[in-house]
Amino acid sequence: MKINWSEPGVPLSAVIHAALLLATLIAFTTAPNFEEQPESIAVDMITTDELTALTKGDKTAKTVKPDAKIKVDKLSDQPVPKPESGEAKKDIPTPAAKPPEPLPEQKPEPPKPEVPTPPPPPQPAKPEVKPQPAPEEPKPDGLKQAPPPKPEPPKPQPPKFEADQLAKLLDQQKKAQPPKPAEAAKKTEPNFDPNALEKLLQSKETPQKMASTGTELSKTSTAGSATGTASKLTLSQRDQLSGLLRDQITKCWSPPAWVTGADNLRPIIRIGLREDGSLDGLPVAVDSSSDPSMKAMEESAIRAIRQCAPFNIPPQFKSYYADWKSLAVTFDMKAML
Amino acid sequence: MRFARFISALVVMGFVATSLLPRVAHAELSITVDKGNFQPMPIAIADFVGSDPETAAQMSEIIRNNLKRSGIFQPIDKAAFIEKNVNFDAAPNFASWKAINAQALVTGRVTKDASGKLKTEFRLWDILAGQQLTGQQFVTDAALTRRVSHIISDLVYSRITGEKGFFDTRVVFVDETGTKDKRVKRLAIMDQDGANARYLTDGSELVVTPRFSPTSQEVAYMAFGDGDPKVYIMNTETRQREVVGDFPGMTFAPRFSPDGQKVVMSLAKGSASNIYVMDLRSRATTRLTDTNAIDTSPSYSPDGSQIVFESDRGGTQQIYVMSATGGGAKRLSFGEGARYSTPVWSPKGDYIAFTRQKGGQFAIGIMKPDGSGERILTEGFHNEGPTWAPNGRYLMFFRDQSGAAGSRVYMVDTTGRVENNVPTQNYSSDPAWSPLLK
Repeated sequence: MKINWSEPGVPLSAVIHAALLLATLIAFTTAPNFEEQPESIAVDMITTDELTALTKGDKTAKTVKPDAKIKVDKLSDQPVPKPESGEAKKDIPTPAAKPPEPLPEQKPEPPKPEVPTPPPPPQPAKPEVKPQPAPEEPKPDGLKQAPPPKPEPPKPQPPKFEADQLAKLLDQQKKAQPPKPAEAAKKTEPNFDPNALEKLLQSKETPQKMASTGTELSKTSTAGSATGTASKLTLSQRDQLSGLLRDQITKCWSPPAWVTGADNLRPIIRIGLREDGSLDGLPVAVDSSSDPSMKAMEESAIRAIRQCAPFNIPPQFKSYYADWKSLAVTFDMKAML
Repeated sequence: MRFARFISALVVMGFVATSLLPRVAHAELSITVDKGNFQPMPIAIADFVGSDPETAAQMSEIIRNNLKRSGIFQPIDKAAFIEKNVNFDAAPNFASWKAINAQALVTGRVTKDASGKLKTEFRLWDILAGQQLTGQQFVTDAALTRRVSHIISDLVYSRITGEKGFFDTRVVFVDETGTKDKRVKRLAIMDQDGANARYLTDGSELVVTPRFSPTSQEVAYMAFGDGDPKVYIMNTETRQREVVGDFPGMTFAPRFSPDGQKVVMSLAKGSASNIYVMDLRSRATTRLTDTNAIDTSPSYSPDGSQIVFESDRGGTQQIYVMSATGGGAKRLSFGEGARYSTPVWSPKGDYIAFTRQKGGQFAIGIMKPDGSGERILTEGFHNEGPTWAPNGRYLMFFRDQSGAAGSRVYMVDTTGRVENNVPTQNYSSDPAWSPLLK
């Protein structure tokens, strides 16, 4: 086919269409990210508080404790750093995602001086032992107030497990269904009985993995990502918290009613908050303007925020710190004029 | 031609493609605050320091009073100050000012140099942010302490509000003495805060409706001399005066154009009054309206392109707006059962102030230049004659209280929240606010 350059219509059209197709192919290869949104709530109707407790606690628990704590046995040493602030949270691993974690965590344990348990510490250092029955008792609650639940009884057992316990278990089995003497003799030595293992696995005690799946932490959530969505504020919590903050700022804001064209001025002030609700850094106006009226609006807004800080953040929101550590506050006078 | 079509198609497709590109998501919590609590800003005005404590204290007192009258500030009682002696050359102890809830602090120093000149320095501090917002110094004649105080007040006001100041201004008004049936009316001038009043006329003739030029220290007013009442212009500094135009009949309700070069007013002929404009340089006069009704109280828009005025051409007194060159007028006021008069266009252009008479009550109000958003700022037995502060954020007017023997001048802001009496020695009426002094 000959191309008639004085009539470039068809070939040009073809070329441009091809180019366009190529361009759009490239443009669409990177699928647009979904806008980050609060996680949808399960269909089960539960209250915000219940949900909060649920996500914090053990998912297999029958009842939702009002003050559920994370079930992480290995954190027994942590109560001290924890109250300090966010640090403790960062350190806590979420074992569900990384089971090998126990090792490093356990090392600190042996030296633990406060807990009276440690006769067997040297032994638990063996990783293979850990995932088994494990110290179930030292549940979150027990961890916090070390004395009440005496973790001693279970603890000594697991270490023994390797030799004695298995033997015992086997013994028990023997009693239940007396095996042939020959078999019995055989079994005691090779010590691998699938049934016994099965029983152990079926033990009521939740495996340790589960014990710490309650993710209270946003920093190291399920997948270990800094922005994991595991403990996002739910929509209703978001509303609740922003309502609380809005009410506090409203009380402090003296709107500059005299400002020219106030109905069209809507400064946005960005603020960082610490976990205790105090200001982290200086409040800044987004798109800070040199227009005197806008400046007066911005300054009145910043004064209001300074005046109000520290903000009162109810305890139920503390665990979602990542969600409210930075705020964008829009000030709008239109409704007041 | 076809090529152009391809290109335009390409552009359109490009737009479509870009609109589909991923948007940046951000996870911060967004809050909109659309309510607030109107409250004057607590401000501390430390007594100025200096070699002449009396002058220094006087200046801080003038500033304190000015800021308080604006309604935007709430000066904190000196007795509450923790840091009593503020070092002007150093940053104040912010914590101690924060402790008494101050959000801003004004410090200053006044000294006299060898030649007798007054050197005034001041600083405005943001207590919450812990930094200086503004600071300045003035070297002036020793007699100008009041003006320097007003200028400092203006700087503080405008730095905080973003609006122009209005404290360094004067007000011409009609001072009224004598009994009701033998009233002596004299033109007088005072500072915006009521202080420093002095007479401009001697009381031998009745004077009404003074209006300040927006560009100079001149006042146009109407005086009843021998013969017909006439519009005069007087220079408030030299007190020289001259009659405006040479019209047969009574001229009244004068007002300057925004450039100060023209005076627009009413001329009565028979039972009708029409609006005329006179160029002060060429003395040329132009008739702007031609009705059998009473058209009066004309006032220019700040850009000089329109004139708002009152007219009873529709049966009752209402506010109309027309081009500054005359022609068709559009009615702005439609309040039910209400009569509107003395419209005045704000120097900022965003409002028209007026007097409204309704149900036996007189109100001062403002509306947008298109007639919408009417807001009544004060209403009562008798309120009249609004005049704008040069920043367009305050109005003065005069008020007769029921049963009172005379009227007084008041000041109100455009929100209607802030109202102050302007203290005058005698009864006072017809205030006219000057532009900022230079």
